[in-house]
Amino acid sequence: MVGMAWESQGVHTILNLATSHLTRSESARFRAEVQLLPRGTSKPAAVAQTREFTSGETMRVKLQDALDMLRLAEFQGLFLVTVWPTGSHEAVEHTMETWIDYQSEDGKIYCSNPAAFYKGSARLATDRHLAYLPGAVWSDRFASRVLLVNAHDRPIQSNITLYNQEGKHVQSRMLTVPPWDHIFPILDRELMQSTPDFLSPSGIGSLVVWTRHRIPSFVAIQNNQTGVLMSFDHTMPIIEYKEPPLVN
Amino acid sequence: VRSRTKRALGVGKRVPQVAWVVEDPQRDICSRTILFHYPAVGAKHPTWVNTNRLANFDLVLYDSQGNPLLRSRETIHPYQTAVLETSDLLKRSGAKPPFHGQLFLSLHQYDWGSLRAYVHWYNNNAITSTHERAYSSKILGNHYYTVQKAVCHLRKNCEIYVALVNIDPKRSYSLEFVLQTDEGERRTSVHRAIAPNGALFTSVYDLFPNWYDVLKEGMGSIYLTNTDASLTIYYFTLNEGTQAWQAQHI
Repeated sequence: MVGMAWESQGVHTILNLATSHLTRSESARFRAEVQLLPRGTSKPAAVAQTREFTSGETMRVKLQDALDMLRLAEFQGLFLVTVWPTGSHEAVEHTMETWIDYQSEDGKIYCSNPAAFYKGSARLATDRHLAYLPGAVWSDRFASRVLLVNAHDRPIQSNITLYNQEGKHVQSRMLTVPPWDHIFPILDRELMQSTPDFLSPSGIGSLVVWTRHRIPSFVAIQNNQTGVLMSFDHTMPIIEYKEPPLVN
Repeated sequence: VRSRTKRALGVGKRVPQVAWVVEDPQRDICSRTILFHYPAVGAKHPTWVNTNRLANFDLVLYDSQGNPLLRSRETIHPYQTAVLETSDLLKRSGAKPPFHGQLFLSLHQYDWGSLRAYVHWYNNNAITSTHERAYSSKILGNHYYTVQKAVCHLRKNCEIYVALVNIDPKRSYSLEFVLQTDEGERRTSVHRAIAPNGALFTSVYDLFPNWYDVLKEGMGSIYLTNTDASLTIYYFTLNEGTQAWQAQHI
């Protein structure tokens, strides 16, 4: 699993390895390895293994602890989590979920986000380059932020198309996600080459993220006036239509 | 797994979706449900592309006891976004807040396409969002439902809430909530009833008033032992400092 490691400006990252709702055996045992990758490199700054834990437990990994061991005050980059079963049982390691908590010391940032498979994920999608999210927001008060995570050796281009409720759209400038890095832009005038009025009066629309190669994308919602960020979730692939549309 | 999922969901006829919605001024939380119609495009089935295609769906709004309050048929035009404010649905139904319950959506098509619903739960301070979750017990098998957080472990001025919807239209359940430590040690449990199509919204404090002592300031989780129940579950964190809600699905 891959995700953004956010340990700066008072924000901390906690990984929650959840197993018990995904394994049939309460005594299934696992071990996990966490790698911290500085921005732009696949060479880890730190590698740590958890102790063995059962599916009944909740394994929490605080990245701050790893930074303390490395004597680093701040860190921004990616983390990779690999989990494997250690006993002879029916547990399947790739079904484990990793939930990422981002929490700031002042309480303004508090959200939980699923990590994404960067290898082995299989989802049927109509177009492998596209992901969507209903409920993007852009107003003077609130704005969505799009997180793109690139765990590959090459830069990946992307753009964001924002649709208002009436179906009109604006497109962002082209973005580049450097290799083994992430970008986390906010919807603003510079990015979208438009104004928040585009979504008025509701301030609500939908966005479609295009990436040249499929990479995980997530969307957060931020209060521009207070900095409060309490929402983070993954986008959706456009699931293929198995048959021609039924109704029209 | 995919075919099993689709069979259990009844995909192939219509796509069901379930969200928990709320309009509660006292708790300072409101909600809206959002769908986006991006016509099927792509290289795989180019002959099916029809950018004039309308997306139709039925909705049913149930109260927390599982009583249907509103039935409606809605249409979304290509590239448009439908925003279903819970306050508007309540006005149409004649009901008044405080309210919480199930919003059931049934798409008139074989698969989601781009019409997976997302929900905003919001107040003046923040918006939090995640997607609907219409999972049948047939998909989960005998796996547990687990709420990872029983306590807010970084800051103590937060409270965790759990919102559940019983998506089974015929069976009621006595749900067993178990509070356990991170080490998997089961400490205490409590039962709550949920009606067919009904909903439950409760805080960890209401479920376990002594949770702080039971967990000895440690972290913990809650899980439900009802592995046969078809439930949609979200958990919420109310930050008392910022008065903002944070939500995520299970």
